Amino acid sequence: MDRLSRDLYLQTFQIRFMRAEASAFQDLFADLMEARYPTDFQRVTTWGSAGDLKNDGYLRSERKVFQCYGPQVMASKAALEKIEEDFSGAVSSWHAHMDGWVFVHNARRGLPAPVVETLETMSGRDGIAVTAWGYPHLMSLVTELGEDALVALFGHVPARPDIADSRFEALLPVLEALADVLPEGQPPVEPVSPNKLSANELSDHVRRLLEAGTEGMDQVTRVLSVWRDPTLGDRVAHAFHEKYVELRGGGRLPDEIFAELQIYAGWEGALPERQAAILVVLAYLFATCDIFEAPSQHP
Amino acid sequence: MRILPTKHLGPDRALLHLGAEVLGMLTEPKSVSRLWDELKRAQTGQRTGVARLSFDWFVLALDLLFAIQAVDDFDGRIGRSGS
Repeated sequence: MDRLSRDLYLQTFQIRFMRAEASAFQDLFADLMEARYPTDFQRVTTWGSAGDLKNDGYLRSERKVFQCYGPQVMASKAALEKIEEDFSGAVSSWHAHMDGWVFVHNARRGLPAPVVETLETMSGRDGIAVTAWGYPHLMSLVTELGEDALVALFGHVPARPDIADSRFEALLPVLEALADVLPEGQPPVEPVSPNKLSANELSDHVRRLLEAGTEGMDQVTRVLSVWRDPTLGDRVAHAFHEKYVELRGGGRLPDEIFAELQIYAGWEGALPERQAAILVVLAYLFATCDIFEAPSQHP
Repeated sequence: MRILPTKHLGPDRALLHLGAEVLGMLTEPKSVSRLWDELKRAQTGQRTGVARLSFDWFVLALDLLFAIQAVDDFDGRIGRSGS
């Protein structure tokens, strides 16, 4: 599997992680663990009135019980209550089989300090090691998967030729679906800084995806130069710029903003050819300074 | 309305350029349909591949020429002002 495919799978996981909450987050975790530890991880489901006995998954070789917590918003008080309740319940039901208890969470920016302190304090209680797994740990599991497992988990991703040779017929529907109203006034024309990629603090795999997308950029320019609606380019740029400003104002991380823009462009559920076209369009908009920040002129 | 070029609209498709191209065709007053036919032929000749111009965009170019009083109506035909 080439570097581009691997980066696309990492990005696919990032999008799934961002969107998954509650039971969907638990399912994503279990899917990932089954792919990574196919003969070792046991998915646990509820069973009538018995429930799941405070166990969302069990890694047999390490005697680890997992508890997933994927709220829409991570609040310290609610998280602490869940930790106490679920750890106590797990110890009660699984103590004979448990050496470790793992709190699996979806807090992209890190856990609240009181939660971290509680987990550290709890560790060693009843002889059980307590740890937390978040986005970095789950992402590392994705990097350990082979191609077959990734395809089974996430489906097929675009190949490099799909991106470099993006066809008119693939690009035009993406552009037309996203075009907004024509903005007022004359948009500024600024030169693109070669440092723009590094200035926006995107992670390495997202940067590589944007670089790959630039291989098809000439096709976007061609589509916009010959399509019968000369305003299409400006209207697409305006739509994405407005969306970018909205996302940036919401305090999202740069990687999250890029993922949200992919979703906005119709990435989820799209066939690889359309995903390739979306990547090329995003690279084009990045290069023309309609999304993300130009590097500061001052040190 | 895009009178001037933008990041995503080349100079050859901005209304200013298109207006100049239409003005150049007005060697005599002409009907809108004749002007449109001539412009379409000229546009296709200048580009390769799919080369189309919408009638709406052509009308906007005429609107611009009227707005700056570069053209006028002569018994239903369009001609250069002062001609």
